[in-house]
Amino acid sequence: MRRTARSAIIGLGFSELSRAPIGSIADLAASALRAALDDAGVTLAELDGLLLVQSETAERGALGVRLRDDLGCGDLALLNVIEAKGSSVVQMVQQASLAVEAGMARMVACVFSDTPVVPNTGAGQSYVRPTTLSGIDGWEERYGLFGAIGTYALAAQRYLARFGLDDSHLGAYAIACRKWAALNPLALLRKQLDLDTYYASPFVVQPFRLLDCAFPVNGAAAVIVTSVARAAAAGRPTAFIHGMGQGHNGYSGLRTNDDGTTGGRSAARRAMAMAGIAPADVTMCQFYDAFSFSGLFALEDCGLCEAGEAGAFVAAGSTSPGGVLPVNTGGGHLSSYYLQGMTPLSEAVIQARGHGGLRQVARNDVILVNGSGGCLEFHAAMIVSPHETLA
Amino acid sequence: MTTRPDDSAQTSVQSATDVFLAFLAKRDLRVARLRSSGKFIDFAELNRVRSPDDCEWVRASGRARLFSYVVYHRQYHPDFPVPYNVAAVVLEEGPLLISTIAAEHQALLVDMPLTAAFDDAGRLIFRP
Repeated sequence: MRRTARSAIIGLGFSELSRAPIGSIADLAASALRAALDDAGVTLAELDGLLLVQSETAERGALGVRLRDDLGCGDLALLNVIEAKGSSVVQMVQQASLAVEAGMARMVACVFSDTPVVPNTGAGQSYVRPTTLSGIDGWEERYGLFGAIGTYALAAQRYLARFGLDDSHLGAYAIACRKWAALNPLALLRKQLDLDTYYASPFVVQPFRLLDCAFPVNGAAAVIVTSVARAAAAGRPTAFIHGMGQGHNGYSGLRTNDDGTTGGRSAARRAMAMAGIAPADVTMCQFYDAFSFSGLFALEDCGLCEAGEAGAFVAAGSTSPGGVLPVNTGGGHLSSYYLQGMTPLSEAVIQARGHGGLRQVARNDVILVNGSGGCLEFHAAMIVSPHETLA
Repeated sequence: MTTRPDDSAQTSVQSATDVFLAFLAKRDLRVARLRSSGKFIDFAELNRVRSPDDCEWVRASGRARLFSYVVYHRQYHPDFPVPYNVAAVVLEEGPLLISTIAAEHQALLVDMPLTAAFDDAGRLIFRP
């Protein structure tokens, strides 16, 4: 059955991306938005929708609906801030898609902006907050479980032990991502890695080394979402949105479903069902991989590898340049730039529009994008394609 | 906790979490079991128990297994000098909780058997 796309992304823009202080969250958001409008060939006056995502770790209200006034937008038909942890950016684009499909808005900008890297502090410090897994106030803090890194490392250690894997598999994932980053001029870490270099990287929270963790940057990115008809009329390079799904079932990377999956399985399945495709039809993945383990786990959670097989799949080069299933072709969170959900989304748009340069993947027909947060508790997924219809 | 107006005459009811912590302060590890279903309640669900009267508090056997563990090598907080381990422990009765293991981290193995104990500060810990 042929299915027509739900909506279309016709513009992508970035602010400057830097490890140095380069401006406020709102300034960077405005800069990315203007770049995305230019890229789409759309004027600010034509924009009638604005959706925003700020980092959970940024000051509350750092990116709020008053950005509309700062930008000098017209009479917006849609304006909101989306918050669902690591699934926020994918959810934001889903909401934009629903709005243009319903005719509520015609041209919607989706913007993410963050400034986690501050002078004289390790970037990781911005993410250090006590986590609450038990629901008992202060319980985890008493044991020094700080940051998302702690809970993800717990999930990773359990996963490695369950399937008899070790940190060489985490390393293989980091190395594969770096191979892609070497081909990406936007990526901040492009020097090739091998296992020796990986093992020499210091442990942060074992089993995670520094090289298993996202590379935070200050910066923003924005996309412009419009209807399929308007995209066709514009005649510009387009990434079509075919499927959208979410999954939030209370299970996490630490307490999975009995079969080892989380809500990520539901989100991916729902997105694929809407697009009328199966896991075997996916030709490329762009995952939210703030930790190496997240990328490995997503391959299994999304149904692209059997449980426990992602490590060997990645180590064999299957996700690397030239592999059968390219994953995080810009370098992902570990090697390119950590703009949370905008990292996988932006790379999906680049690949779908054929703008990948040296890293462009020929088989860009069906791209799975995911976003997840909490400790793999909140999930959203999308199917993106250069094709207006999928056979 | 919000209180309905018609509850205002009552003295404040302890939440299930408060009950758990009160036992623990007496170095008594208890697990909540729903009277209706006989099911043990995970700690993450304690604050969703509507009334503490819905559950009974069973003394935990103290036997547990190491579900997972991590070792902090980077110091995030002055009270936690590195290296130290944080563990996810599954009690024999089923509930999972975060704790720490009184052992060198090189000796830790996922699924190893553990026994509940209390450290000098009265904090629940586990020993291999």
